[in-house]
Amino acid sequence: MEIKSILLSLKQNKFMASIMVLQIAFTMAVLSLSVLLAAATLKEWNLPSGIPHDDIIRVTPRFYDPNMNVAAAVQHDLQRLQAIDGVQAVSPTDQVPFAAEVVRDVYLSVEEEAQSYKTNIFSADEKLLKVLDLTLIAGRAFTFSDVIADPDAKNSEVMISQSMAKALFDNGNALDKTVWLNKGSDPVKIVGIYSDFMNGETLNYFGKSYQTMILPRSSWQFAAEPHYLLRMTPGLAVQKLEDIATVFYQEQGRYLAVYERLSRIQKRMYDGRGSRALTFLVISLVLVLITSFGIAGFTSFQVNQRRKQIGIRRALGGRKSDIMAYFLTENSIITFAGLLLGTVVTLFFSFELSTMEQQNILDLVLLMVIALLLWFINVVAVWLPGRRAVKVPPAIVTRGS
Amino acid sequence: MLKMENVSKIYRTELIETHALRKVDLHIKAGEFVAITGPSGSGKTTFLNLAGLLETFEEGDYYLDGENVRGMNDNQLSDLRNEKIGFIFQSFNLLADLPLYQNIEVPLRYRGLSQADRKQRVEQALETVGLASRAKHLPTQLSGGQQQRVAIARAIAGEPKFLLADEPTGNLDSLMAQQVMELLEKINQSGTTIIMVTHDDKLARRAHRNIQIFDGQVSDLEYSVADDIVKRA
Ligand SMILES: Nc1ncnc2c1ncn2[C@@H]1O[C@H](COP(=O)(O)OP(=O)(O)OP(=O)(O)O)[C@@H](O)[C@H]1O
Ligand SMILES: [Mg+2]
Repeated sequence: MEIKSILLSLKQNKFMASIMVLQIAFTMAVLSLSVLLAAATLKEWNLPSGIPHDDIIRVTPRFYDPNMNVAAAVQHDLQRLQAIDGVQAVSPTDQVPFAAEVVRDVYLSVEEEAQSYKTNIFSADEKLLKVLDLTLIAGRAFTFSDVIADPDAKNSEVMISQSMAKALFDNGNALDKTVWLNKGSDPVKIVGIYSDFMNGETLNYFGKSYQTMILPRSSWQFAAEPHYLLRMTPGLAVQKLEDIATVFYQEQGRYLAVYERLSRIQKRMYDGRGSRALTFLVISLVLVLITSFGIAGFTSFQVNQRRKQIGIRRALGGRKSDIMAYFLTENSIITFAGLLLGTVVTLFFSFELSTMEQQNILDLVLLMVIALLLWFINVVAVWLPGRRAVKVPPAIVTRGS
Repeated sequence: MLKMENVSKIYRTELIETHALRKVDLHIKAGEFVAITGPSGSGKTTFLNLAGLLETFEEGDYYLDGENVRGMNDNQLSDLRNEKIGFIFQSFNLLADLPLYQNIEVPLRYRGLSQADRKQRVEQALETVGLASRAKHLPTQLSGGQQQRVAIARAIAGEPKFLLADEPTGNLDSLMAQQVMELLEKINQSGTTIIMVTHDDKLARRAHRNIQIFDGQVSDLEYSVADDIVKRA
């Protein structure tokens, strides 16, 4: 291969060549970051929920009267809901499975540099385990007397999920250990461990779908509105939805903002996820398309610029395949440089992401597949205008133009 | 040697047919230095293009170094050009992006010669044309005469049997034209057959043999010494 002479010739066309290298590098970086993010997004796709989500209803009332005693109203609502035929258990919570978005950092020590662990903390009463049909794995479950109603009082005990226990203590025993709910403050003792359930979009995205904690707490005030979770007799959830809504038509000071089965929230969570991944991929594909047109255009331009040169090479004994090989090699050099640069940029950003977001999206195999794909696209984008190059008649050398 | 029998070339465009060459019968022997003259548009370049396998023809037979080239495919023609023929053009036709060394190397690469072999031949050729010290220069850094000498170096580096030159001195002043002509004569003396199209009668007369093309027809011209004397007077 005449790589050296191609390099010498590229030296004379530095500007164009560097622009192509930059364009390919940019495409490589954006494409691989998008694909890596999309892959990370889809990795945690459709995991088991850990709860009978078809039989659980979420009801979210909105209280609009600031003078109202919300805590009392919540108690009243819970009683009325409990009375509906088909409702097996009701619990007020501050977060809803599949939609828990308040991500908290908890710690295992008070030190300044203590490692943080991500989790969703569900404040609820003692019935949450029953509503979600969670299994007690170790320790004890909360009872009515554990639930704190005083907004100023602090919890001293917590239950955590199995995955949370593993995240915090690996395989060690979590029971009776202390966790700090804030940096250097709010220590609570782990008294029970329950089976896993899906928390919400954010932690799911980071591969921490099942890291949850339950605080026995029902201190509802005007600013902190609860959701009610209702466990229904299997199969009755859909048909009872309207009965549940009716309860709220008759109540003062609140209206029904949302009522739906958890299966719908689950669907929404993954739908949003899917369309985000799709958006990444579509943007990338458009970019790849633009780049391949760019390369085809560049080669096309080069072919027009170098008709005479091509003719000279043909006159000197170059076969048509030599001409094609020339353009392919030249572009491969440019592409290789671009891919190299793009990979460096990708590595840099995924490293940044991994330190910033504690998320490792890097997948070297995927990166190589993308590089190969881009190289292949390049070959095609060169080959098409290259066919025009090989048709340049050698007689051009004596006839001009 | 080079032998054409009954070769015709017709250019067809939408409007007209041009009979650029009509039934050419010609035999050029190995080692000859042939000058071709003729009015503009008479078919000189066409003849050179056919002889150099840059264009194909519809009628007749053409034997290059004993091989009939009619019906050869594109790859065979490319390989023959590479092995047997060196070209020199009026407009030099160097590859502007490449230093002299790489310019001269191009046909040697197409022939598949080894790196060492190429190096030896490139250096030898540069030596012959007196530009050994300029191997790394770009064509644009040279004068026209020097560029033409590079083109000659490129043409002879592969040691072809035939050198085809289309007005090699057309773009040069007379001093440089003189140098180029001397170079060609030197190359011819070492055994290479040269066919040169020129408008310059004085240069033509330095060749062994003069051929005139007139309206697509080829004929030998005999200069007598008397002619020369008349012209000089
Ligand atoms: N590609 C072509 N298509 C159509 N006609 C052509 C083509 N090339 C040459 N001709 C015609 O063929 C004839 C011979 O052209 P050629 O170039 O051989 O002349 P020439 O003797 O080299 O002239 P000059 O001295 O001006 O270079 C001319 O009439 C020219 O117009
Ligand atoms: Mg001509």
